[in-house]
Amino acid sequence: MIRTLDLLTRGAFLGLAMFAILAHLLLLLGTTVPGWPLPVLLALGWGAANWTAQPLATARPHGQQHSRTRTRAIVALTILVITGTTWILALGATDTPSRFWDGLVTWDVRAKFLTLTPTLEQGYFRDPAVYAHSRDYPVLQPLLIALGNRTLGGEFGRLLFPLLYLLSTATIASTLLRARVRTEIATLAALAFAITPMLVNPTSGGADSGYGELFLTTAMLGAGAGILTRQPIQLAASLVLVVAAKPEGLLYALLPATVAFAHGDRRLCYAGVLGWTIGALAWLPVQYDLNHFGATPPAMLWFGICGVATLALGLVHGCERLGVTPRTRQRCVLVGAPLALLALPLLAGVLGSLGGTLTTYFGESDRAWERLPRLFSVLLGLADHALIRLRFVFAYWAVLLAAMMLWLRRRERPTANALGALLVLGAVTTFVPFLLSPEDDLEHHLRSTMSRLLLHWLGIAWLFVGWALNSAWPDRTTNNHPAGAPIDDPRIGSVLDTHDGGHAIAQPDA
Amino acid sequence: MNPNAKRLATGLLGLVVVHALWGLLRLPSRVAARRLSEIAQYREHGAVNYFLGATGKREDGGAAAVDWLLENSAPNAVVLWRGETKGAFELASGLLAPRWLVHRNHVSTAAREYRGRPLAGDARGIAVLVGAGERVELEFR
Repeated sequence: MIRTLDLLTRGAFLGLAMFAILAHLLLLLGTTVPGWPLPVLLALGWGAANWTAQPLATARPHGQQHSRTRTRAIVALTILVITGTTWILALGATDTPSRFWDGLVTWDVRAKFLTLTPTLEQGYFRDPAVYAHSRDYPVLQPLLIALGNRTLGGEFGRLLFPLLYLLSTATIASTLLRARVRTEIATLAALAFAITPMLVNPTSGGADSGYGELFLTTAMLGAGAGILTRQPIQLAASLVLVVAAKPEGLLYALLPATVAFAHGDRRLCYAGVLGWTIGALAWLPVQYDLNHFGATPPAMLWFGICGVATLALGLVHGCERLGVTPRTRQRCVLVGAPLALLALPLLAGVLGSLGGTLTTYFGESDRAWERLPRLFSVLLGLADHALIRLRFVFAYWAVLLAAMMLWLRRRERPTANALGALLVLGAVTTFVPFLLSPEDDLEHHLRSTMSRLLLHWLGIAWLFVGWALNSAWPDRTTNNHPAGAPIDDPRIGSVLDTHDGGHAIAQPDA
Repeated sequence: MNPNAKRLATGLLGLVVVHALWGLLRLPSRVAARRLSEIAQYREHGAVNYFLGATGKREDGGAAAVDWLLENSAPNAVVLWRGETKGAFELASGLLAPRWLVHRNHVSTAAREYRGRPLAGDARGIAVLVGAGERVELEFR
């Protein structure tokens, strides 16, 4: 069953990514996107996941009967809760269209038009005189819903939301199990994710609200899973979806490659750059097409994306050739990340000319500089929404505790945790919209946006907490191998657990 | 293991269990019951009144104007508009889809259709949806 779950989740990410690439290509070519490639590509994804699967060694409940009974009870409770919640979310998604502002205005409208004709060659997208609220927002989610509506009838395309909820909870459990985290901890982490109020409440940004938040959360979780289990294909496929899910995905998708670079994991770094590049090559030309009512994207756009990718790959290759240590790379990232943030206004000249959402954020080059004094208020807002308002209950408290615990244990077992680093970079990126958005009312902006930004990182947060918990109570049946490395990995003690770029064999816990 | 780390690990496990229990306890009321109540409210009032009607504490956002357009125009019709696009107009645009909303300046006063699609209206003239901040209104030209 665990193997099936693992194959289903990894195959789903791969199949969806392949569909995203194909769908964007067809949209750019001005043709109709048929429904049949979706199940075909999902089946292909599952086949590929099966073909590339490594033997799965998971931790098992050990020892006494009461331990096994406890594990079974936790698993049964979790399956029951997730089934019930999925049912409620399915009702919320399909009984009515979106019941919240952005769901109706930003996402549902485009799904309605794409349901009638799944192509951009129609007046709503092509005629500048026709009012379109978010014309250049990502189209993958509305397209998936539209194809579902066309196949199943009514609003049943919105079953995408409960399915994404299922995919994300299953991904947490299967990833942690694949990382050889104990079954009860992996299940508990999936349960903890699945009942988070911000995710399951009937609220703006909730799972069935019609927003793009669940899609982005799931895609980011897929990327986190790729990092934790060191699967380049999973990482690259998830990053394609991250870019295609929401505008902020373009920025988020750079972070896993950055983390892999900092930890000296060349394979994951290449996969991260490849995923971002494919995602950007698929989505940005379509976004340009939408902004300019069908105009052909300029060569500068293609060259720009390929140029960024070439620079990144060259940097990684150069560091490999020069033997730059992970410690030096981490320092480079620590210095480089804030510099990149401060350099955002410089991108205005390049991205501002592309129009639409990008211009909205990057169009005024001085805005970010003028708003630097806001940073402290944004930090307070971040803490308020993550830790005090209880929309995430104790999820981010658990992340802080897990980070402290791993910090205290660093002498016993050196742990450079890539997921932790990803969460730190994620926290930094939450500042970006508040520096660049045209919204001047910071309080209103924090209230309407911060919880949704935090939701994007929730899946990775629970992967991190589950993995940290397991490191405190390692599985005794396989304690020669740290969590995070497949048992047949020749480099057991991967970069997630060592400071030396993954070339040393990790020692068992003291 | 460092004793402080061990204590933190135990605390972390406790925190995760409390988190899960808290979430479980609120599922029936905050997740299921509230969602079902919202669905019932939506169905009772209809989409337009749910978003723009004077239901509960909400001010009337011009539901009658949108209702009139829905009842008196085909789904492929074009609705002319003017005024502010922020506020109730955004909701109206969502509720009126798949009708096109075209600014009245793009269509001549004599026209009865736009790109082969009929303009919404009646004997009083062509309907124009007016965005006025927190509400939308209807006028005829």
